[in-house]
Amino acid sequence: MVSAAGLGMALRAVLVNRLRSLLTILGVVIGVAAVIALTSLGRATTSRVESTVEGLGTNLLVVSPGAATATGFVSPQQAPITLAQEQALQAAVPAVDAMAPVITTAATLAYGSTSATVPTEATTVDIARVRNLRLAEGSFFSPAAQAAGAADIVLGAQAAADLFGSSDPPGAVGATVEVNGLPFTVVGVLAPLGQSGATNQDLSAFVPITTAMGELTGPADLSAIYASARSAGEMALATAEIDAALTAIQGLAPGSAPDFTVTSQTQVLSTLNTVTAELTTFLGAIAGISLLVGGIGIMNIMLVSVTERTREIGIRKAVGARRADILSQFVLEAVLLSLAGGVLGVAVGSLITLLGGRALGVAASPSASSDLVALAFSVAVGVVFGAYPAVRASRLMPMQALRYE
Amino acid sequence: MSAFIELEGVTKGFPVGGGVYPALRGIDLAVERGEFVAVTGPSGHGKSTLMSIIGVLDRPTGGRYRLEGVEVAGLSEDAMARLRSRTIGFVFQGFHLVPTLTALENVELPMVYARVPPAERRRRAQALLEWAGIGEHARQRPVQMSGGEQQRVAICRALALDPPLILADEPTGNLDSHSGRVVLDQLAGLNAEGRTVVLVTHDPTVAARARREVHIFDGRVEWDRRRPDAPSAAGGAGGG
Repeated sequence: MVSAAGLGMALRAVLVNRLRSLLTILGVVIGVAAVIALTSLGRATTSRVESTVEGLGTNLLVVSPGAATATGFVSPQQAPITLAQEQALQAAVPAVDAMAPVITTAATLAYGSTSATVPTEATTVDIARVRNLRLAEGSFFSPAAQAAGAADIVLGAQAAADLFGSSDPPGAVGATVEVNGLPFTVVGVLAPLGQSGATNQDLSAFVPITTAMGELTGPADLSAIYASARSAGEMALATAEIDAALTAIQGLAPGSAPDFTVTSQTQVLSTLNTVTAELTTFLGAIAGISLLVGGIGIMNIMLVSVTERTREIGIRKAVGARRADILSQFVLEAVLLSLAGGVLGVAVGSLITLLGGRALGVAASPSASSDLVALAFSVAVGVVFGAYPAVRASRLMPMQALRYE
Repeated sequence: MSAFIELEGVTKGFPVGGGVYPALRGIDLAVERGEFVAVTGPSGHGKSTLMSIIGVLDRPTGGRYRLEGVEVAGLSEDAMARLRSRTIGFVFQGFHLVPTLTALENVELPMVYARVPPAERRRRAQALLEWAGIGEHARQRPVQMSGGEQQRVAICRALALDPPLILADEPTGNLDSHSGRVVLDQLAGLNAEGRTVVLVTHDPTVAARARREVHIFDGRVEWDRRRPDAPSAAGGAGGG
């Protein structure tokens, strides 16, 4: 009997005990809010990771020393990758559009009294093409400066802001900063790149590798080689070419286990996606458990309600209510409770999503589909956990129920 | 042709501890349409149990009970509910109104379960309350009304589906003498309209309003007396 009258009566019964109803639905509110917030924040994080990795360039390949084992760990390298090997490699890989060697070092940058520790990459001018770097001001160091070992430096947006204070294009170009005590001239400042996972890509600096090997790092081995394929479709080809050529260059026997690893951004992307998806599912499942607990709370209070209203059930039966009428009345009440919890939970969850998204710096918004799923789920909780008390109510014999004190 | 209410050797036992307590030990009773019967007897001797059997609120343990020629023993619980709803209006000592519903909604309740369309049941419920002289209480909850008013709401609810039988269990038990008289007048009026009224009471002055008195003692009919000289319904049922 889901009629307007039945709905009205159920609503009345729920509203009579406002505080109790509110406390009863709290479990469902928390459960639904947690499911909504965790899944939408998880989704937002996943898509941000995707977009930042895509921002790095989907054509990007990273060659790092040391072989990746089956478990994904990189074994201690036996042979380093040297700058000479990188130069030899450049000539042997036609599917690669551009390639840049990188030595990463944490350098202390100082301007006047301000100083900052910045991950600094000693590289070639080609890095700008490989990683799709854009300048907000000035220019990248020139091939000529690179060849001459000039003390030029390009700053990331955050590094420039840290040193020169302002977030506006700070007029840093032309200034002299000290890198580990050595004077370098700022020739360019990069446009902001954004966050990549836990790494702030804008806290960066680039110096010519020739200069660095002379003065900053000394003659060092490469941290990595960055390469970009001509197109996304040629990623596999470029990987194979690099594999073969570098194996030959390092003097390893063809077919033997390589002592380096070629990683593509798509691989990183899919790994990250798997991890975040699993994490989201896991968190959602934990939140789902609190929904279950909320359902048990509803069942408990409905059982109390059936006992308290035994007389009322007797009256209703005396005036002609059938079993199904009583059954549906109590199920309806349970569903109203859980649905109210669901609606409130969606509201709270959306709020948490928005606030949490702002705090985490991701564009998180609750999706209509997950709201609907959460509401449907809370209705199901009401039906499932309301069923048993309702059956108990419907089985009462009218005379015994009427006499109940 | 059987009587309107017909009990033959009806027994009812309640399980108590390991055994069975026999509340009714074999009741034979026939009530014709239009009668006004008082069921009397000391408390604890089976009056209320008899009333719950006649009211189809409970099944007899043994014997036969036919209401309007329908054998109750063979009915499912839902069929019993339908039979109650069609045939019987109840008035209880404790009024038994649903506390969360207004007077109007309480009167509507039997019609809700009988699937009477909303507009029609509202109209009829309001008309019944007006007839009982408590139309202005339609929007009030039971706690906001006096006992006499509540019992009149209960009588309106009993009449909602225009049943041929009114079963009243100590209807004046919780009322002051004036309210009690008003309620009894209403019941007498309903009987004058042609309805069968069965009134359970332990109070001889209340029983005196009926034209027949069935006295229950120790689970049996001790005596069954007709009073052709009993006061008629002329006392007035407040219109209708």
